Amino acid sequence: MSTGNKMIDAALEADNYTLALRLADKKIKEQPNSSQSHAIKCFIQAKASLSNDYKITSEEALKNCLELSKKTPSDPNSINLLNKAFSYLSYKPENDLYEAAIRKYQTPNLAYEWFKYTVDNNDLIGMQKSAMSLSKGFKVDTENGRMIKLWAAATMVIVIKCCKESDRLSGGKDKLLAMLGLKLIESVEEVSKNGINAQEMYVKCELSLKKGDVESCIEELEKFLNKESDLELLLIYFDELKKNEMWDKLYDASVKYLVETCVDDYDTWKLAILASKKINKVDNIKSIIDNYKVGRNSQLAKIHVIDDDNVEEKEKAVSNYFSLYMHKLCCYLDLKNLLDSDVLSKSSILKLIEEQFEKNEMNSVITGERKATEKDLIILVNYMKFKTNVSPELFESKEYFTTCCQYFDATKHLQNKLPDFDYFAGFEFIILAIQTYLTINKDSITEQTFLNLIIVLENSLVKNKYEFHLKLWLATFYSNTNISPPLKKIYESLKIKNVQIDTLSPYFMNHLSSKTRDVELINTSIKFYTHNVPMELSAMLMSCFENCTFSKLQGFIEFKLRVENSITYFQTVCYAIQNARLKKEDLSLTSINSNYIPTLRNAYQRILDSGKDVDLKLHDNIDRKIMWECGNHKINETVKKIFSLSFSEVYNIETVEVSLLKELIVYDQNSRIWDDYRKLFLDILRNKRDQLFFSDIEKSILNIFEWLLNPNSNSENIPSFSAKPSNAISADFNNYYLTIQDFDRVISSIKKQSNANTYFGGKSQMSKLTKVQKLVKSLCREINRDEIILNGKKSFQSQKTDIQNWFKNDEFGKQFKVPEDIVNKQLKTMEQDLLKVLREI
Amino acid sequence: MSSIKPFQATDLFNFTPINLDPLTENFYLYFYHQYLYTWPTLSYKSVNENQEPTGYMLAKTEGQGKEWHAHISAVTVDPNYRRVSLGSYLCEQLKIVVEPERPINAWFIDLFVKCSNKTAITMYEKLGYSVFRRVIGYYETGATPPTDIKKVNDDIDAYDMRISLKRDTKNETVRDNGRKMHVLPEEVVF
Repeated sequence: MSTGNKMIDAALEADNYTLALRLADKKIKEQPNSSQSHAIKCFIQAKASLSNDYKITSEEALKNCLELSKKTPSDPNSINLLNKAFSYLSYKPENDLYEAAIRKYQTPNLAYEWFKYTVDNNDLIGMQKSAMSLSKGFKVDTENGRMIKLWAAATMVIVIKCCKESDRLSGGKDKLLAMLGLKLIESVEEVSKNGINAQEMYVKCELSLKKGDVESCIEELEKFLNKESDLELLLIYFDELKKNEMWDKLYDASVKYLVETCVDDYDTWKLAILASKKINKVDNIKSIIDNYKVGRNSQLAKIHVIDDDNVEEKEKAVSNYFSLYMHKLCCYLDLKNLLDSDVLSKSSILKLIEEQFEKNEMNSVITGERKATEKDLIILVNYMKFKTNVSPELFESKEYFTTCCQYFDATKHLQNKLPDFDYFAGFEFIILAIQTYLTINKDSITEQTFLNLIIVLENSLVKNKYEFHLKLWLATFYSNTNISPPLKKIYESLKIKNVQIDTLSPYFMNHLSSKTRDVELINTSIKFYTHNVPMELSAMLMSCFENCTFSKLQGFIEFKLRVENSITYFQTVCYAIQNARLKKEDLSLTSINSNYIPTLRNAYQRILDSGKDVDLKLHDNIDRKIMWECGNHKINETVKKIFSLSFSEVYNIETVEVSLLKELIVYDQNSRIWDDYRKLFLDILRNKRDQLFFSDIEKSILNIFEWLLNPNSNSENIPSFSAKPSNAISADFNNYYLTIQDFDRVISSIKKQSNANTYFGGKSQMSKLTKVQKLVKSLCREINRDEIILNGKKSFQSQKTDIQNWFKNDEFGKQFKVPEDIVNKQLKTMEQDLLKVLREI
Repeated sequence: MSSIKPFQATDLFNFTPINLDPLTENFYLYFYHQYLYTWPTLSYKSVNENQEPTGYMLAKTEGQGKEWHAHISAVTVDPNYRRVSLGSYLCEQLKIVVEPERPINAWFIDLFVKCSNKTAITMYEKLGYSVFRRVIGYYETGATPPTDIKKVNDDIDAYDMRISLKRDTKNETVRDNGRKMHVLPEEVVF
């Protein structure tokens, strides 16, 4: 954050707090009554108190900040600087500085700055208060006045919908807000010649519903929707009719939407069917369905309208659906919920899919009598999906594995004429075969298993290069080995960027900073969070207000909150810190302190909030379903367990909490709340250890941290380090050596950052730290890089023969039919990649 | 099964299977946000029974007078839901939104499609779209913009396809020989 004074900013950038303070004092002397000069001084002191280079404690800095805040500064720059200073000091003022200022000096400009500040800082309640305060400064019959009154009403909807925790809107505050908001909307309505538009009606409806005016809301919606169709409002209307059991109206409105407006919408079919059953109009809706244009939705409605106990009719309708859509990929997904609901018996589903198999003469495709067409391929894929859905035990059957391989073989020629950028749906047979293989062999999974399956997947991708599930499975297998360079290639081939960094990058970066020093992926991710997110999201949210697009506001706010408080972001920051240490950058300490630690302090605040509301927690935005959105579209628990045992299990919130607390403990030693970090860190280790995903060596280091952070631990009993991994291919190999080297630098950093006022500055703690340091240094000295390379080559050579044999002779391996030249080519690439990473140790 | 629902910013977290498609551009955040706040009714998604997104539409309005129209900027579908006319379904929904007098009352809908993308062109033709003009070098990513109006290349040229709506009672916004009408990208201005 800039102070607005170039010379002071330059001094701060160079961490020259003495000069910065001297310049601030000079400014104060020149303008003793300027609150900004005093705020700058507080800001500098707060920043300086966290550094080891300047002698001011954070308590002293806080005292000065509090003194200034008592004087109620009223210019936005001073308030922002003071707020930032409080944030550095991890202190939340009892009274909002803007709110206090506005009470004394009510001006539209100040209220607007307050509003902007709350938008930037995701302060939902502040947003409502500031918008209300702003609205007081304008008359409703002016252009800006109208808009700002609407902002005030819209922020009330936001607060009511997002701040649900009991103490936030207690004592009927939510209803009061709704009433107040409605008054604002009514004042807008009074001066609007053409009435209110759809966005304004959205705000009015939400507030009316909260107030309890359901009937008048429904009436208003009816009037509005008669003039103008708006999807958002229509869905609220349907929802309210359903909730309030207004079945006649619901029937009429849903049928009108389906028939008159001609929107073939499945959820509306469901509503129409539900209402028809309540008012004895089932025959009417059946007739409408029968006469409707044939499409997936109307055909599914045909199934849905039949009562669940009428199994015979239900079967007939499903059979009809199979006849129409078995050759479409979505057939399985369209019927999956019905199959999972047990309305139809296992035997009847099997009978129905076998009928389809025979009717479409699939046997002739499998025996080679005729060549499979695109349609045959999809029928076979669906057939296999349905079968494993009904009989998941098939994953334990060798016969099923053989069938998957056979079907792949019978259809693989279709890969040769794929249109540009299209993919081959037969990849599903490979995924199903792999799941079956892993399930059957679950007790004998080794590094070689992963290498074998990597070759199977790499081979599948040669002709099916746009299929992303194969690539994600491949990335997962690579993560279970020490061969990390291909992860970057896969990531790039998937063109992962922007929001996908948040949802998908963990599949490629798990433990990456302790496997390699080449971490371009980490830098790309960090750039997204530190450049794109701050540049784009606050501005977009303000634009949403300025355009009065109120139905999207909640989504914008939640999106911003979720990205800014994402565990992917915070874990990536931890990886970036580790990488900076391992790269031994001269400036690593300064850059870590200025670039990354403030982010982790914010993360810590969210941990402390630990609420259920969207603004009070860390967010896990990782797409955890994507790996399983193929095959039978269910998580295969056995396979998932195999992944969880090793390095591919994507981190969870608890793991990220421990990672970031560890870094705060190292780098934020001068913080007022350092001891809180320590306590929380120990608390999580004590109570949630079984929920953490760390490697053996990482766990050892956490144990040592635990020992160091417990002032009463026996100074002689240093927890031991885990054993050195012996196999260079195993996922924990580089991780072990790089983590040890990193830990050496962690200890140096702790020492550098500590002083007489910090925990580690004390004699006994320093002595414990020195003991650990000696031990780690000896481990580092023991690293024999030449021997590692030599052993790596040897162990790969022995695996190589085993892998070749697996594809030639193993009862499973040979069925994948991977050509020998592909196996050998892959082995060569793997060996090169392995040696590359081993050289990084 | 498909239902149409409004597109919210948070849906971006759930578009992975759709946006991993090689032909679907994964835009900057502001791009999606801008569409959502400027044209809130013209961006929507299709969902399955579990309310998981299966496809989405991003569209906008632009132009003045008889050029006042809706433009399809992106329409894309999850690989599992391809070849069941979901793309058409999403396009038809746009017509339902922009054709009525209130609030949009557009003259036509248009879109750009790569001249080499025969599948998409056929789909749009089935929906009633026709080629209005060929935009030379529309998808050219190089530094030099195209200048020769006669130099055609299916891989970088776009067809500007249109469907006229009820308001265009005389079909003034479409033409029969659109494939022969060549323009340069800078001429496409509304």
